[in-house]
Amino acid sequence: MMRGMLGKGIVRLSLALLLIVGALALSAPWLGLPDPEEVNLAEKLAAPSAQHLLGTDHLGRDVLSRLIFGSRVSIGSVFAILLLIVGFSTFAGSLAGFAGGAVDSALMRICDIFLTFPTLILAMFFVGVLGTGLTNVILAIFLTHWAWYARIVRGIVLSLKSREFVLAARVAGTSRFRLVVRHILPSLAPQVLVLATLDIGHMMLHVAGLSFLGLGVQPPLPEWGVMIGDARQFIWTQPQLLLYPGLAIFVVVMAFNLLGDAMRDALDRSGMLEEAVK
Amino acid sequence: MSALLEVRDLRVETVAAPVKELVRGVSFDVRAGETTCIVGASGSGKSLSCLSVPGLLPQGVRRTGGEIFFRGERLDDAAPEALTRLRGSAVSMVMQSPMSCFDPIFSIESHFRETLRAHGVRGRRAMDERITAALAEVGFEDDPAIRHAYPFQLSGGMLQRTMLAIALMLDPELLIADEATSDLDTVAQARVLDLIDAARRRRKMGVLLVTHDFGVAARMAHQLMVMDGGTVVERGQVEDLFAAPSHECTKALLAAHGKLCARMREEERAV
Amino acid sequence: MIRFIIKRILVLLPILLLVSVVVFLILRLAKGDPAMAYLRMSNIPPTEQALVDARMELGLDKPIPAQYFDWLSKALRLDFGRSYVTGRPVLEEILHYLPATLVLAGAGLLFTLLASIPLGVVAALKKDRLPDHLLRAFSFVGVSIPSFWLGFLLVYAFAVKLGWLPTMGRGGPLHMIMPVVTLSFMSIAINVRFLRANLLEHIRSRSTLYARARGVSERRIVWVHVMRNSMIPVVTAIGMHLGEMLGGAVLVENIFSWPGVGRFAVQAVFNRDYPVLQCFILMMTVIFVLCNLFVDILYAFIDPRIRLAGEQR
Repeated sequence: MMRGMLGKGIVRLSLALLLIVGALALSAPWLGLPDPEEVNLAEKLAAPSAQHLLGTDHLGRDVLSRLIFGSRVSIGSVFAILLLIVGFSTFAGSLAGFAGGAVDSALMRICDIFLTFPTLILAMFFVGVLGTGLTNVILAIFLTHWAWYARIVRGIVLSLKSREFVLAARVAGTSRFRLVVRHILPSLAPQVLVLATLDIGHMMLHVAGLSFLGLGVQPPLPEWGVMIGDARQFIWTQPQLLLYPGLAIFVVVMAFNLLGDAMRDALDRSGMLEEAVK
Repeated sequence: MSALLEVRDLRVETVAAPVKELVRGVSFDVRAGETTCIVGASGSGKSLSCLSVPGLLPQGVRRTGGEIFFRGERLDDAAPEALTRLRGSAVSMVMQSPMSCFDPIFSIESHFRETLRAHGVRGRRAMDERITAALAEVGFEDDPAIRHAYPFQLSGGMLQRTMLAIALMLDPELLIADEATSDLDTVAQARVLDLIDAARRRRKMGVLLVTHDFGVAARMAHQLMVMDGGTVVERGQVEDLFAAPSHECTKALLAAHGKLCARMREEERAV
Repeated sequence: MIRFIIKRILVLLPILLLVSVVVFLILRLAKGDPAMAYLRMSNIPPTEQALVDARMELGLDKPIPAQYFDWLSKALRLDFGRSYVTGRPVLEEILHYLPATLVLAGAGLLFTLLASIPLGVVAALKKDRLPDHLLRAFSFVGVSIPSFWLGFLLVYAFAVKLGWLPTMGRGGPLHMIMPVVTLSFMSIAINVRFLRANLLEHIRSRSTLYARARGVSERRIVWVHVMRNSMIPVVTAIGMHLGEMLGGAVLVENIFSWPGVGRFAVQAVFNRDYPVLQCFILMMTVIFVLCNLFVDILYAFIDPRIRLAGEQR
């Protein structure tokens, strides 16, 4: 499966790009970069130089450094959200699909409610009420996205539940727990993984969007959406300050989307995908 | 007397690599007023053979050889417009799974009208006459409300009869039935086959019937042809084949059919 | 048909009720003392007694379910309180800004449909050729590009550099071009792929084969049967796009200083103006729900299977 996936050049490129970005993000503190939060008004809006490869922003902070440290926040926050969502929604969806009956109905009604809100607006409301900041943004986006995942997981579990290999195991008297872990999870896991990868880009855009509005990550924490928000007043004079962080978001999101697409195709070809995920 | 339809040495293969020959030099004919049956298991090439006649091969396969004569004229190299004119009028089809063939958002009546309009019939009265007559021919004379229904509202058997009505509406000379009864229960199947046979006798129509069911072939065919792996493995009159099949494949199909009949007889006796 | 509509409305009502519960509960999580905020807004010095009085006045001493009912009954009477900032009734303020947002979202939806339908048809009819590849690339870009960045790129290109279009504000068609394009970009990208897939599926369907077998012309098959069948899922997808539009409008209004309710709400977040925020989310959610209901009804109208379900012969 992996081979089929990496066959296409552009997918290889995306994977390579993401690995490089990931490596940079993880190793940022040890790269000898200038402090991304250090304000130095004397050097504000400087042109690119040996000291500041991409110049400085309106507070004299090194742009390249902020980009690299910003990746930790922009991408890291999405992984945190995903962890929460995958954990919680897989649990909730599996419970609903497996237990059926009243539990299922109740959980589905709750999902319905959350799916009724337009996503960005619910996130805004949550942040508005509980305050801005990274943690609240993560919670807000989790709140707006979990229901969709739970629904799909439930769908997958329902269709898996009636498959022969599960029925056979039940007839053989396998305990409920083993049933889930041994038989259902292995089918569930790759599909959820594909879903998550496909969604990373989408969630990055939401996190960056909230931060751009000033409702997300707060200064002085570097983040790509915040950087775009900071740079908007300089569109006439220093447009490149808008270019870099936007380009970063665009390229990373695109890479995740391409990767997720390739994963879905590969999984589809090997016949592991349930209809609900397609 | 030359046959209504003559197919000589038909060859069909896949378009994309690896190129595979799906029909390998198949020949058959259909005489006016008689039924020719092509029997075979799935993948034997029988459907492709019959779809080649009106030029309706699906994407991904193409005809690479052979000649098709209809009413003495070459059909295989006819212009697309000529073929379109023939389809639905002189050469019409009934197909398998009628539910997936009708357009779900159009009423039954619109399917009738559309077909009529495509062949130059104009005017509400002219159309209505033809539609009512066609519906009566397949047994819907006491249920004119069928026309306003949508496909999903009818059963498989009713839809198949409707399909037959549309096929007969413009007085075809050749009717092609591609697994037309495969999805139906025995009662509906019997009814549809009866209707096809009655229409054949009444109109002196030629019928090309494709099926995997020997019982259907036994009932309907004058000429019978067994296909396997893209070639004709056995042909002849129905009684001969049943009495003394020579090819393995024919024997297998007959055996399966026989087992089913035997089991049914047992069950009947048990009851 | 009427029965269908009534059934859908009946399903919606409990959901809307539960939605209001969720909104109320989230509000309760807010930091800060509403009594204090109330006193501050009314310019009353916050003495102990004043606080107690304020609490009683606001019903904060009652148990939570009772508070919820108070809040809900006020909301149903369209009384959402007064803004903490301006002191004016919240509903009035929001209704003042709402039309601008609706115009923007509406134009965005219209543009999405007008642009994606021809592009989808081209992508399907020219499958695997250059136009299809270009559109595929466009679709990928469309779902990956941050709308707020795209907005600024457009502003830079067309306003700063070329000076053809104004950078901000509401106005005539020229003012609307960039905001509408920014808003619809992602939806167009998604719709084009979606429509293309539907068209290809229907062109290959048995239904098309049968139409050909009946002698129907190729042109009629494509433009009547295939198109109509393919459009149905596109119509139902409008609901999804609407959600994106309403959220996206918040961003677009910010970029282009479009005086809509989204921009107003962002200000309210900074000001911790909870009455405004609660009205904002309720109103936008209700609008979203009503639009989806309308789309459902439209869907039933054009697809007889939905309209006549349960009338088997």
